[in-house]
Amino acid sequence: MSEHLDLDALADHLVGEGNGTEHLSTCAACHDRLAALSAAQLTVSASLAALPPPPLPPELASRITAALAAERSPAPSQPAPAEPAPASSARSATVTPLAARRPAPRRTWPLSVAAAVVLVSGAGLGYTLLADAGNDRAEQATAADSAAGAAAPQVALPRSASGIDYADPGSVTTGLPSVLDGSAQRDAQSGTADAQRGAPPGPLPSGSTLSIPGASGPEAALAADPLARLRDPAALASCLLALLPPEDPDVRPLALDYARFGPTPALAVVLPDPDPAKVSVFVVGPGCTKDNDATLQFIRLARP
Amino acid sequence: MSEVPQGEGTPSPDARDRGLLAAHLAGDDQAFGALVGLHRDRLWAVAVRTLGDREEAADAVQDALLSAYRAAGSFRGEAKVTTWLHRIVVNACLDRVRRQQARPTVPLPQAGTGAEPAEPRDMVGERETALEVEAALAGLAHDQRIAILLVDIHGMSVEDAAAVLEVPTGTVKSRCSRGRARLAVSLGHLRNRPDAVPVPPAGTDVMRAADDQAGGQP
Repeated sequence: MSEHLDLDALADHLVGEGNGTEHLSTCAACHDRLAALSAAQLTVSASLAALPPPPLPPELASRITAALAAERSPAPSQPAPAEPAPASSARSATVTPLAARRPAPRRTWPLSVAAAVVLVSGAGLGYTLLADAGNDRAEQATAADSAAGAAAPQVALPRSASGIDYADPGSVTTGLPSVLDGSAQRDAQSGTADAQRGAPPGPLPSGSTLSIPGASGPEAALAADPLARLRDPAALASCLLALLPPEDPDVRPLALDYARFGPTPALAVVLPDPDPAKVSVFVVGPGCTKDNDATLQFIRLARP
Repeated sequence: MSEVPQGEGTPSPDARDRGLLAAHLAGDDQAFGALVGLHRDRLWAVAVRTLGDREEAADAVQDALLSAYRAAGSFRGEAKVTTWLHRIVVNACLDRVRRQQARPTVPLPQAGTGAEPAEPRDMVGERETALEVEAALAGLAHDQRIAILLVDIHGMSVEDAAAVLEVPTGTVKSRCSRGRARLAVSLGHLRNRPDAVPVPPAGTDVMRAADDQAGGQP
């Protein structure tokens, strides 16, 4: 008869990590001890889970705060202002809050997406268009296209395909400035209504679903690139509706970035933040609508 | 227009943590403090139960958070932010344990070691006090104690605990189960069952005795 199992071997066996199965099948004593240990462990686990947390020493929180502040102060590279930076701050030379650009002539915004319509000071057209977003996408898209045609063409809402992985803070920090200043790779599929209607997708950020060579038509484009849905003006408008603050209808996105969140294709919507020194970034999945924003990530970042 | 925008409350805790870390890296000088505020209670609990000394634990937490602050840029998103923070705190604590052990004049907390099993309990007094459990916990080897802290006390998944400790999941399971077994002995849960073979907390001397008793069986 093989040796009895010691306490550690019994404990390992209980979590499937041991190899005393053969002995246990023939030794009644060890079998009983295993059962007793299993019951005792349940009692122990209950006692452990019921332990009250040790109280945090009141001075520890202030100690940590002071230590972090001391760590911050000598660093010259990030002179974060104590007060929110004014909109005219040199740091925000390329991107200023919408408020700082007012009064902006309404029609100079690039109304290439229906969503932009609603962003124009609560214009009746926009609200009407969006009130039933999803009910008649074709009609809305047409309306949006004609609105786009009527708009002055040159002030571009940055629409990029930066390749940023928004699940990776380092990637966001590195890449976001180029998204905001328009120097990131442009989203090749966003340019025209024709592109939205089934031209083969252009280069995708690494990690995105690859396009099928030669595929055409909306279904193929959608299968190849889940984000294609959010290039449709009506679908995009509906999504943005879920993200924009209803109390401030003048807010418009600073940038749209067709990128990814980990392995998932995702749209990053960069919005002005209530704090003018920051931007808010909603990272949404391809299924984003006004009824389900599909938010994967919400980030507040210092304005690059 | 009746849609309520989704704000900070919507994303998962880890998405929230990642957002704060990203904000910190982007120069938001409040973000790291906010992240710390969300996790410091648990990090403190791990530290004080690992080290058994409040001053040492406070120093370890502070050291760990400062190194996390400096190393935030090296967080690559392969684990949860909270896993990463726990790993830094656990490593800071284990560094201090090693230093303590290099100075044998500083005794480790050894209350309620397995060598001195608690009095057997009657069935009425089944539940021990939290103080007894804490004392028994302090008697465990550090490996087992930290695994139990993370999994049994903090409710962390075995996978996350394995990521914190940088060991395979099977190792975490084994450490937890062995630690629970030791606690069961030192808290007397294995002694109040008349049908249980007496189990030694460590070593095999009594095991041999049990072996002899069972020796007559076919």
